[in-house]
Amino acid sequence: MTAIIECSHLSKTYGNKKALKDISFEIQAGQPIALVGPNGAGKSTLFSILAGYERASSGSAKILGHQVGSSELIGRIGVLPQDALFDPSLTLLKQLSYLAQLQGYGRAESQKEALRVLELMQLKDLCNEKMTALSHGMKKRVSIAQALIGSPELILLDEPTAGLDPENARNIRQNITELSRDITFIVSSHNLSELERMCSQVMHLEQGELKALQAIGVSSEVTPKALDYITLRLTQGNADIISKIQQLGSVEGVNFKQDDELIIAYNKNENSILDQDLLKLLASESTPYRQLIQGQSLENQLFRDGKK
Amino acid sequence: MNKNTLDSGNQQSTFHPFFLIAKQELLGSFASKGGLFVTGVFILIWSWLLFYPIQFAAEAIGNSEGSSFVLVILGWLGLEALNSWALSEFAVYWAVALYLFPVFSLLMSSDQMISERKRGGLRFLTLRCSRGSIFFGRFIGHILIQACLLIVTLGITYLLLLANNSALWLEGMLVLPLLFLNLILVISPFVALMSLLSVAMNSVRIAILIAIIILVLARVMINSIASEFYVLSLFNYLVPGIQIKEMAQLSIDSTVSLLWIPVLQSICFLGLGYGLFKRQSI
Repeated sequence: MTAIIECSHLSKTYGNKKALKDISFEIQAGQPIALVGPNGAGKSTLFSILAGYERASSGSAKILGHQVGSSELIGRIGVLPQDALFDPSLTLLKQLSYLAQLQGYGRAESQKEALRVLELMQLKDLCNEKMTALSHGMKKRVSIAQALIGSPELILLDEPTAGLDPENARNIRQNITELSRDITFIVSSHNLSELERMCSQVMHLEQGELKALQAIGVSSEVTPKALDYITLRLTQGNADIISKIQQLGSVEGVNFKQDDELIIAYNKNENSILDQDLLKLLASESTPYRQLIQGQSLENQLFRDGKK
Repeated sequence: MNKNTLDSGNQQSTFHPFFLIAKQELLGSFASKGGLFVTGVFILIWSWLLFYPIQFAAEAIGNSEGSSFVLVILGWLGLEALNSWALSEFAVYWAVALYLFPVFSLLMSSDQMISERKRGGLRFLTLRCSRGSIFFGRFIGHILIQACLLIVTLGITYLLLLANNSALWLEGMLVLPLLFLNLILVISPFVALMSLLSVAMNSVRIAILIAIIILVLARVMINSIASEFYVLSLFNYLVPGIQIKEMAQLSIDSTVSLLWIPVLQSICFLGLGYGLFKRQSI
C-alpha cells in the first residue's frame, strides 16, 4: 500500500532560521490526522511544502507516490491555505466555478460543483455575493469550500475553524468527519479538543522537529507493561475519591493535571470494564462528574508525554 | 461525499487551463473597476488622437499645400517614409501607434501576478493547473487585451479612412492585417517584460519603475560598455522597442524583416520569467 504522504529528511531554512529540521514520516490514507504544535513550530511551512507552494531546502516529500508540486497531483489534493484571499471582483459562484473548470469540469458542471461545495459550507444562498461582502468567517468557509472541489484524495486544512463561530465550526467538523470516509484530511489547529474529536492520529511538531506521530488516546510511553488510560473529569476536585480509585482492581496509578481532571492508568487485560467500575464508585460516593473519556485527552498526551 | 459526486470530477472541461487563465485575464481586465477605468482612459486618449492629430495630419498629407508642411515635420521626426503611404490615415496611425501602444501595454500589463501573489490567490490556482499554464496564460491574456484594443483603434481608423475617401476601402482592408501583425509583435516584448517583472518584483509601482529604467537607461549603459567591448552591443537587441525607430521609417510591407527582434525579446523575457516563477515561493 502506497503511503499518502512520505517525507524523508525534509528541511526548510529561511535565512538563518530553520523552520523544519530533517523530518521524516509516512502517513497512510485513512482517518483525519491532527497537526499540532506551538506558533512557529513549522506547521504552515510543512503544509506549504506539501502543497507545492514552497520548495524544501533539502530532503524529499511525496504525495500519492509523486514528488510534491508535480503535475500528477493536480486536482488530487485540496488545501486550505492560511491567509489566502480570493479575487474581490468575482462572486462566490464565479470564483469557485472558475476553479472547478481549471480542475477539469465543464462549464455547466463547474457551476453545479461550486454550488455543491457552497452548500456543504452553508453558503449557497450567498453564491452571488462578492468576497468583499463577506465576514471573516464566511471567507474562511469559502476557502474550505474550494478545497473540497472535485474528488481530492488528500486535503490539508490549516486552522479551518480559527475565527469561526461555534455553530459553523461544528458544521465544518461534521463535514470533515463525514467526508473522511473518502478523503484523508490533515488538520492543523490549536484547538486540541476539536482535533481530538475529529482525528485518530496526531503529528506533533515543535521548533521544526517532529516530536511524535501517534494514535490519539494512546500513550507513546514504552514500558514493559502496556497501559491503557481513562480520563475522568470531576465537577470539582475531590481528594478522597482518588484514593478509592487507586484501590480498584487493575489501576496502576492516578495522575491529576488539575484538581478536577484525573488520568487513570490501568491494565486492560486485568479489568476490561474499569469504566463501569468507576461509574459505580462515583455513584456510591455521590461524586458528580462531567466527563469520562477512554484514553487520555490529546492535551495530556502531548504535554505530559512530552515532559517525560 | 457520494460516489456520483466523486465521479463527476472526471468530467473534462473543453478548455485547457492555459486558455481558461487567458480568458479569465481578458474578462477580468475589462470587467473589473480598475480595468474599466484604464480602458476608458485608453479610449478617450485614442479618440482624441484619431479625431484631431491623426485626422489633421492625414488631411494635410493628402492635400498638396499641407503635405509640404507635414513633410517638414515628418522630416524632423525622421518619419519621411510615411509620406509615401497611399493611406494617409493609416500612415499617421502607424507612427502614433508604434510609440503609444508599447507604453499602454507596459502600464496595462504591469500587474499580471503581483497583487494576486500578495493576496495569496495564486495558491488556489497552483493546485489545479501547472505554473506554466498560469504564467503563459496570463501573458496570452494580456496580449489578447492589447489585440482587442488594437482592433478597436484600427477599426476606427478604417472608418476615418472611409469617411475621407471611401474609394480606398479595399487598400485599407488589405493593410489592416499587416498593421495588426506588426503592432501586436511590437507590443509583445513589453508585455513579456512585465510578465518577468511581475514575477520578480513585489510591487506594481516598482515593476513599472524598473521597466522604465530598463527602457531608458539600458541602451545608454550597454552602449557605454560596448565602446570597450564591442560584442556586448548585441545586448541592445534585448531592449524592447529597439527596432521601433527603424520600423517607423519603413513602409508597412517592409517591416516584417525586423519582427524577429521583438519575437526574440519576448522568448527571452518569457523564458526567464517562467524559470523564476517555477521556483518561486507563493
